[in-house]
Amino acid sequence: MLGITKRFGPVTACDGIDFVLGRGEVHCLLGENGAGKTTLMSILFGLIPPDDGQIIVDGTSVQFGSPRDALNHGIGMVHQHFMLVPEFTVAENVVLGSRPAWTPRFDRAAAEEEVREVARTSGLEVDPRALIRDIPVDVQQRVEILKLLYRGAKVLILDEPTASLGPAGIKSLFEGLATLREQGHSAILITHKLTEVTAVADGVTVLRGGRLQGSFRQGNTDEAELARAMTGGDIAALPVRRAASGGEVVLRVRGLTVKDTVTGRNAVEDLDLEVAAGEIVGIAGVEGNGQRELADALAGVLAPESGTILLDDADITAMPPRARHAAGLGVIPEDRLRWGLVADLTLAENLALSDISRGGLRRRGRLLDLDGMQARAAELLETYGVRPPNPKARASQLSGGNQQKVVIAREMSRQPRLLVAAQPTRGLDVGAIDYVHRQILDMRDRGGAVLLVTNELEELIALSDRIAVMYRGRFVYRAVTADADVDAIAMAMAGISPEDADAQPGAAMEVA
Amino acid sequence: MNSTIVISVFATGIALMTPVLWAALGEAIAERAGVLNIGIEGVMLFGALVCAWAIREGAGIWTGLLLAIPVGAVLGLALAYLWVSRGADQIVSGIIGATSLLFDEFLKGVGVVTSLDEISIPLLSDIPWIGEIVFQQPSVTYLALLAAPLVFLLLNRTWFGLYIRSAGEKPRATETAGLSVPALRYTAVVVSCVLICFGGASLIAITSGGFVTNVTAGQGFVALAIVVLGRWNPFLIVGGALLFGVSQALQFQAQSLGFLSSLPPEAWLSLPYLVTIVAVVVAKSSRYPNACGVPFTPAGAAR
Repeated sequence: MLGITKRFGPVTACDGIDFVLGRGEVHCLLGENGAGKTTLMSILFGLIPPDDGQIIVDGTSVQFGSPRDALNHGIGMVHQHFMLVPEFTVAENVVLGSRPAWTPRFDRAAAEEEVREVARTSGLEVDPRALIRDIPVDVQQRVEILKLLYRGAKVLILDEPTASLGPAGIKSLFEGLATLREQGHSAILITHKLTEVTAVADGVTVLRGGRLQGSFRQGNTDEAELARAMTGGDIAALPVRRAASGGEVVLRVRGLTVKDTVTGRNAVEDLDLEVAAGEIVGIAGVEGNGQRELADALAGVLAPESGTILLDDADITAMPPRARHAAGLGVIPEDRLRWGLVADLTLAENLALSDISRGGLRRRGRLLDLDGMQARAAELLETYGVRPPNPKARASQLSGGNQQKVVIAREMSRQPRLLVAAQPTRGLDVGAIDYVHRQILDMRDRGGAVLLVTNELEELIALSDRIAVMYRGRFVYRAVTADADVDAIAMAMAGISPEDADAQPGAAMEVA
Repeated sequence: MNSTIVISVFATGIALMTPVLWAALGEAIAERAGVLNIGIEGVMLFGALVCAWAIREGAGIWTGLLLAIPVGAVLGLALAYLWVSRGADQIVSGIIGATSLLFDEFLKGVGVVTSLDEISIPLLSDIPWIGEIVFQQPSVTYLALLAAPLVFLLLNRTWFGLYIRSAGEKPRATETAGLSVPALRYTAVVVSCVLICFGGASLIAITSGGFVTNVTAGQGFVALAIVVLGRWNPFLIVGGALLFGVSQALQFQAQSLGFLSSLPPEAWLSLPYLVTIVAVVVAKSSRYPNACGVPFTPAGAAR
């Protein structure tokens, strides 16, 4: 790709970018959110036409009007948010779009057999008859890759492929990529994680603010150089974590059992948990092992089957979310656009939501105090460094990092006793992650209790004072962070208890 | 209640469900593709109008029925343009479609006195009960019953069906698979409107009354409910349409139903609608296709 340029209105997402990929190469495209990585790759995949520049495949200049053109040239893309139809089977998803629409007979059994064959030759095992909504995220990702291989793709573009995977899923993904590389496929990984670059990449291209920062070969660079190229500066280290605070217990969970609303099985099973004032307790686990249900039960959006939840010794088990807020609970929900913010409302309205329900920001009885809302929002946006600090902007217009800042501003401004933060940095860039981390540490230092649910091992270890790993709804590993063993955490996430691992030394895995 | 009444109610019920069955089958196709075709009532009216007009001009009933096919296709193109190309709000513009109700003000009173004859299927119609109920029906009714399995095959056993269902569940996935969501939805809406328009015309063909103001009497909206009741499955949709048809047929036997015969005619007229509403409410919750009613913007044009 030579001199690729794309503008969206006044914003230049890609500014004259060159990008070169060799055959049989795994190449990382590194950059923060908004650096133009996804836009550049969407252009390569024919989803977005470039304003300027040239794409050359095997020495021939090409123009892609649609993903179908790109696929015909052997280029396929796995999007960060999977493009799978949840109600369809694996086989139906894989063959989708492979025949003209007027082809009369759709033979499901033949399709399943074809998919089984592609899965076998590529080493990506899946059950072609399983429904997408029933299979875990890492298997869904395998299906996405199979879709491309089935269509004959030689170049795989993977957008943030590790964002939703646990350590075991990441390991098997990287192994799969190595196998595909041996078979002559090339892959491009869009990422903002340096550790992934060192783990798999043969080459790396760094973007920042829509411009090319440089292209490097594995072995000719190091993480520090890449980090500087990506962020344009160094980021100060986080304050060190503390030993146990010895503060009084703020959250006390006893025998909590929560059912999964879809499958009906117990997502959280007979769980005990305590979080003290001035302490961060980190919950880790591969997605789908009950962390979400635990956070939802604490937030009051999912009713537990049994057990009690005490906040400062008050029983909040049966309280609706509003009463829990009043009792001192703050929540950073996992999916900020679904549970955290109303995308089409303004920032002022979003920030005022919980105040209004508690009777604030009103005048003359029932009418809203609009000026008060604006003024308060302006103040909060300024304090929490939201860009743009405009109370009238809609939540949907902000970047992910700034949306998260708005959620944090609303929850923190009420000075909660307990903060439940679920995947608080998911999808954020390095700068925003650092900001969120500091806010959480700040809360702890002011004597608040924090329950942090995260899939990111680095984040877990950097922030938590104590760590617990969830597997199939139970804690299978608990430790004070200072004494914790990263290998043991990773294995616990995969459901292997330390005793089992000792019995089979080969099972230990490396975690970056 | 003696057996003649039961047979008569069911036989009439099957004939009366014809228009709503055609319409519901058509609607199911559009909804599986992700387009909530609320213009259904208006499209049915057009079909009824065209058929009645053709008959008044001296054409045969079948000419009137067949004429509804191209008319439905044109209406489908127009509606697809609004929903698919312009990304108009599907519910709002659906109501605009329904206000073609106004048209009948200009054309009301197109009288028709003929209706399609019933055809007895040899041998099958001799089966006691079933024969009299199912196999002595007008040809459009047989066709509608035949259309149900065909629509099922179209949706579930063809590549086109697989593609439009993906467009109704997750159009972004359809697009990344290299397919054109707008083209799929256009086709689905056109096919949908052809069936719906034909259903409207069949209303004229099975009853001898001609085109009067609001001849469809909300049957389009009933079809909309039957699609939900039938969970977008053509076979279950037949069941839902039958429920509506039979409860409609009851009114013709009202006087033979003993103590119920004292009910006012309005009660009988509203019964099928009440039954449909109750059935939809009572039926276990069903799931709309995920992207149904959501306009789709291709990625290249987005942002």
